[in-house]
Amino acid sequence: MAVGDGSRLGLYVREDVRDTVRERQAQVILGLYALVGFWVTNSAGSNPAVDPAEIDLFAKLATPLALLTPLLVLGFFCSSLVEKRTSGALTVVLGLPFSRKTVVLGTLIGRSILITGALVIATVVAIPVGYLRGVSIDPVALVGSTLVLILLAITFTAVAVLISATTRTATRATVAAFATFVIFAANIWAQFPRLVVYASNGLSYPETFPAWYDFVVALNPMAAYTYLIADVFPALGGIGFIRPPQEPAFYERPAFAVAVLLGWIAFATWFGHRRFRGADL
Amino acid sequence: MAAIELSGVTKRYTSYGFFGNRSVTAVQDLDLTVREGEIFGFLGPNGAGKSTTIDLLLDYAEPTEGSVRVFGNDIPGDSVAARERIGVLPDGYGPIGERTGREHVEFAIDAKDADDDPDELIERVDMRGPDEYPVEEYSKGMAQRLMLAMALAGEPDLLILDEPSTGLDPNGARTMRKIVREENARGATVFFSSHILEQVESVCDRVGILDAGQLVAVDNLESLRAETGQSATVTVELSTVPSDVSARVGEIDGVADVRTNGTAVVVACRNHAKAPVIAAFHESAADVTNVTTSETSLDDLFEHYTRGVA
Repeated sequence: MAVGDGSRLGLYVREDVRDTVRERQAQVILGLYALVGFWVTNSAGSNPAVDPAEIDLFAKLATPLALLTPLLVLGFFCSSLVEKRTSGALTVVLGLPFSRKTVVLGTLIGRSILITGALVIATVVAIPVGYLRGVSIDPVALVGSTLVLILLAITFTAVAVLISATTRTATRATVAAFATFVIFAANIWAQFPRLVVYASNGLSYPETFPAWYDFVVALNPMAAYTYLIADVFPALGGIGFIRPPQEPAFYERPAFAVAVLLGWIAFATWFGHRRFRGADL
Repeated sequence: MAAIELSGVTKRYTSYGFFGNRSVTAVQDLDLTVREGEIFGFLGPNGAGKSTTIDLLLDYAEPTEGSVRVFGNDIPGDSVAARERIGVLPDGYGPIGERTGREHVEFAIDAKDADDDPDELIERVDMRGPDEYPVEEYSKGMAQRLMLAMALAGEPDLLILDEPSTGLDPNGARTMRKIVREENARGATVFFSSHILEQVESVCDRVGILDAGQLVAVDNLESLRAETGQSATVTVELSTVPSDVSARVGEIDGVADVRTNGTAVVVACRNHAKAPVIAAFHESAADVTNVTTSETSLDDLFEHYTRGVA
């Protein structure tokens, strides 16, 4: 039934995207990103203290979007499945011949399409505004940084769908999504291995931290994003609480960072499906 | 091949807490076979486990023990293959997003990869007009009609209807019964749960009665009536009730119970005992002013098998 599964996945994705339009979620997200694209570029180009030609459009755009996107993705998409579950919509959907895998994958793909569209719109709106304001536009860097942002957005979409597939109420999902954002964006993530180092070192911090500590820190998707852009687009610098290392180890280099982000997508989807498959409606 | 086979099925729900776990057994060691082509009524009081059994058939929940098969497909392993052949009117459903009724029906048709005309399905369940409104605005009865229309998409081989007449007005209930008969005549097996006994009586070939998670009876209604020892009730109204009436009528072969209610005597008996019972009253000293007979109601059957907890 592989063909049937594939066409049903396509149907589910189509209907999930249409649902976001019917519920005005798509309009809100796309509108917000268009606004951010306009506002960030316009305000950067209208600062009299800075020559617009010295401003890179992609750098101005990527930094706010890299913080805004995980927050919005987690906030909007954490309820994608759990709301259908509590409202009884999933009872209807799973009465039809959709597998639970189709539901999880279809939601991930549908919401990824939406957030990808939003990032593209922010960029597309920013280009003419930047051009009119005289901001420097490097097409390769702009496309490249947008693609990296899209990878980050899909990573957090997968995490949001995981939260939605494994919680029983929308309130719990919202709390879990907010906690996840704080852990990753504020790099609370780094405190977990730090505590292990502290405990294993007789309740004190060693002078030099073991290599595995930095390895675990690098598994934070926000850290992976930072390490990736720091190498490929040095103009962007770090985001939020995470700074790129001066002498990156292999796990702080772009290839590993991409693997970390893809790994999060794969793990979140696999684990979300596994938990969702065994759950009673 | 059987449409539905449940073998040794137990479903326990466990809730985990800091101060210990709580476990509730909703279905206990259930064996049930529903043959292809029959209309099977699934009866039971509230909380008996009817909806849980349906949840297991549809892979909404996994059995704790035992095996569930639908058209030979293992549930949950091959549940998609099973659901390709099933039309469902579930319990506890809600609208899928902010769709209209028509969009719901179209979604069901697409999901079944069928080529039904949505208009025909909408027409069939009498929901022309409201089909253009968002389902969130529907009354319970209209939502039931919509779910029935969705269940009919793709000419399913098995219809699973959980309390289908809930919220339906008399016309809606009649339409539902008509559709059940039509679908069965087309060749579909129908499995539906209900506690509205008249619905079951009017359409079902066989019934299963579930009580406290256990199947207490499975048979056709006539056999179940016979098993309870009473298949008819004779009510005789008299000028006066003779003192020895209970003893004399009670001796007649096939009489299960004799009760006096004012000047009326109510006799529960087998069909073949009805005439001798009436004759016995005519031969007594009292004048017979009226005689009515009826079959044992399904209510009585239900009470008999479920210990009157409904």
